[in-house]
Amino acid sequence: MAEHARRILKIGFFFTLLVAGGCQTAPVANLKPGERPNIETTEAGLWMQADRAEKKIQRSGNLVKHAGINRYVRSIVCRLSPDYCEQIRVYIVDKPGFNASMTPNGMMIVQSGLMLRAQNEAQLAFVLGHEMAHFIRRHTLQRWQTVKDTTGFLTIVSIALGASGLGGASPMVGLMATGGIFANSRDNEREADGLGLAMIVKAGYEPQEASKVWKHLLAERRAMEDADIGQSFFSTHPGSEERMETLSNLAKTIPGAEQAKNTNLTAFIEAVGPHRDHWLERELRLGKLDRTEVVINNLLQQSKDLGVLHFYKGELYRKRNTESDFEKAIEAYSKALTYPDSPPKTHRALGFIYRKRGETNKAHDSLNDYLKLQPRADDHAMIRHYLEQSK
Amino acid sequence: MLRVLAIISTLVFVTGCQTFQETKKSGRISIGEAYSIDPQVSWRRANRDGLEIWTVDGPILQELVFMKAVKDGASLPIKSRQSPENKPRFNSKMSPSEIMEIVIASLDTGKRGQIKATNLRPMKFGKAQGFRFDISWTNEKGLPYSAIVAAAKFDETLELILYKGDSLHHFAKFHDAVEKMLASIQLIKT
Amino acid sequence: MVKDTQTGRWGLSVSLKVAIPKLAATIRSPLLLAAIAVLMAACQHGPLKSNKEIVTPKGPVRILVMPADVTLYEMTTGGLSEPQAAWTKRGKVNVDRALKKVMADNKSKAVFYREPNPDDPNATRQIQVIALQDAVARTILQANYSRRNLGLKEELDYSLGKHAQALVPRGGADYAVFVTLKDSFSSAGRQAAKFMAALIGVRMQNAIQAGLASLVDLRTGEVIWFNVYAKGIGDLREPSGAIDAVKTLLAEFPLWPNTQDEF
Repeated sequence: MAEHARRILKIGFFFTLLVAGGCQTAPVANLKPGERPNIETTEAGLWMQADRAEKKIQRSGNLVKHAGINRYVRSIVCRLSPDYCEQIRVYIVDKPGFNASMTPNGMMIVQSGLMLRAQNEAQLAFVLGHEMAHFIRRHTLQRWQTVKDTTGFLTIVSIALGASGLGGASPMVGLMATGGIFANSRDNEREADGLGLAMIVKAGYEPQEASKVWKHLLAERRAMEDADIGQSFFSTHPGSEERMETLSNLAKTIPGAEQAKNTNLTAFIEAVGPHRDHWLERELRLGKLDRTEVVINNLLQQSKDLGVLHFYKGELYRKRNTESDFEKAIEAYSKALTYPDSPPKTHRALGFIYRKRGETNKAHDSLNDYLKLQPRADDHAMIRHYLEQSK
Repeated sequence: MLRVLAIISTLVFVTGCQTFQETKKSGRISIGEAYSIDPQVSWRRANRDGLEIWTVDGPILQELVFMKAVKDGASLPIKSRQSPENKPRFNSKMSPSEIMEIVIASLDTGKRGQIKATNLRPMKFGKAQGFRFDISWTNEKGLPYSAIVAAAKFDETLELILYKGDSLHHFAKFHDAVEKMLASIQLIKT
Repeated sequence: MVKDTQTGRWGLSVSLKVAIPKLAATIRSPLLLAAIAVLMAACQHGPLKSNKEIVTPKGPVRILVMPADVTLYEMTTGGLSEPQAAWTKRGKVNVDRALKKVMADNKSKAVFYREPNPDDPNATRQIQVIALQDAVARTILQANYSRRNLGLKEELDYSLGKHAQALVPRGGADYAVFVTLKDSFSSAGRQAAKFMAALIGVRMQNAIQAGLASLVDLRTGEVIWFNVYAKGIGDLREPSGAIDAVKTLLAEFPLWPNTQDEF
């Protein structure tokens, strides 16, 4: 009995220290335009690390340096916020999958996979605005603060439990903590959605486009058989269904919605169109064919770059690699060839399928067509070898 | 600890509890049961089912990888970012062009930028008809890499050799030796 | 009990990685700190030297000091390393001054690396050489300082190749030294937690100072010396602390006469 009482006293002592240590997060004010944190603060430390990460990105082999697309994305950022435009640097990285992030120092990273999935400038602008909201509202600092407090709490509790002889840290404590981190993250996401929407409406973009971003991502997600947790957008931007509905409702009532109608499709296609070939190639390499099919079908709705899109539809069927897929692949490649923007490799792709099916003459013709268009192709020596072989 | 793990996990190919051993003898070395090769220099070799990794200076700097008897339907033993279901798989009906495609897809982990495969051409793999191609990329720190691949299909399996190193120094260091090695390939079965 | 604390930390480190993208890698696991502490239990201790003859030029040796990677952290109650901007700034100034002084005391001239202009034709090459040095350093850590014996070579026989010459500044330099230094200090909450833990006989991880350095011959690109250290004392925020750290880091530096006898 006395032993037990002693344990309780010990726990009490430790928890007093815990409370005294404090685990409240003070509300955080907006970052003002041009504001830099005082060098003594935690925030300054986060900026410092972000600055270093930025130097690294500048050297990365994955950085998209193309002047036109960078200018285009910057122009959207400045349209969304003339105040913060000066201090935001956007880096586009050549990486498939939908993702974007922003660090506390004003560096934004946009993945090419995201630019591939946006159907117009309004949708792209919403995502950029959402990321800017994280920056303006200092969400990274908030989350760091939460994590710091939570881990501190965990440590104290572990010691307390140890002292009390109650055994190791209860799994409940761990769950509580993790929940704490994510709950904060979900609040931040909702806030960023709301602010992002306000920003695009103010800049004249059609607000309903915002919820479409989530709608398409959801469709992609549903197409997948396996739940893709890992480092995908969803792990840090949770709750797509709820967010889609919230945004759709907000879009109806937000002031200024009636006048905001822009999607700027023409400027958007002009900027991203030339890159889609390469971005789709990278996307297909991920091997997530069901998801990529959703992306390609979404893009086909716009009736732009149809040669490239139908070619990649064909590639999709080819990689699925069943008998019925060969028929569909041939159909898609042939359709691609009816458009002026079909890539020369469409002929090669057809040639390979005909070869596989033993249709030697057709294979011959297609591969020759390919070589006529690209006599110095990277694989021309091999193609000529195939042609020799089949004579 | 995390850093050490990060270091070890930069090994391109799945090594598990792999350790390297110095090659003591200087004669021909058999690669699985398919062919033998004249090593030219004293490599450090790590060996297990399906895969051999040879290096002199360390796998981050240069690596000679032998993928042994890759079976129909199997994925390449390269650490890639795709989950097992999505990993590209070898199919015994694949043409050299398609095999090149799955090698690139396996190497495209997100950390290698501007991956380019060029100069796909036929090559004699011992007495068998094989093929080869060149690869280049730049890593996240801006370091360029070069690689060559030589491969051949045997019935239903694939034998593949990949040599990679940084383009500034370590690729060139044994490039000539590797070309001699490829020319020295002798098939074990006829 | 320590295991549970670490599990708590490890578990949260994974969540952190998910919850704070991009920043996680740079904040969560400082490059050397935790790793070096583990590594110190491994086979190799102290500096590595190349077998090759080092021919020092007549007159003062010019050593190109690549930008020292200096970061100072506070270790939080929960064991996280929070980067400190003000301390880091002080530490970097102290380290640069210490390098200059220690080199001058040994009759070498410190030449500080300057970032090239973006239109400098050498700029890309310099970035590549720096990236290669990083790859070589990681390989040396793997080969010589890893807890597990990976069977990689034990001699210091590495080179950046002739492209190392791209680093040579206009005024000339004979060697280049690459330095990384990290220092960490427990917060008040951390110290209190350690005290409480100690009361119940539990050891918690200490804050440490760690450093890594390599010396490259700029003519040939050869890495002629390499060192790693970790210790539980020291303070880069103080000029004297930085001098101590630099002296520890540059132990048995091959360009200077040793104070100890060599056998």
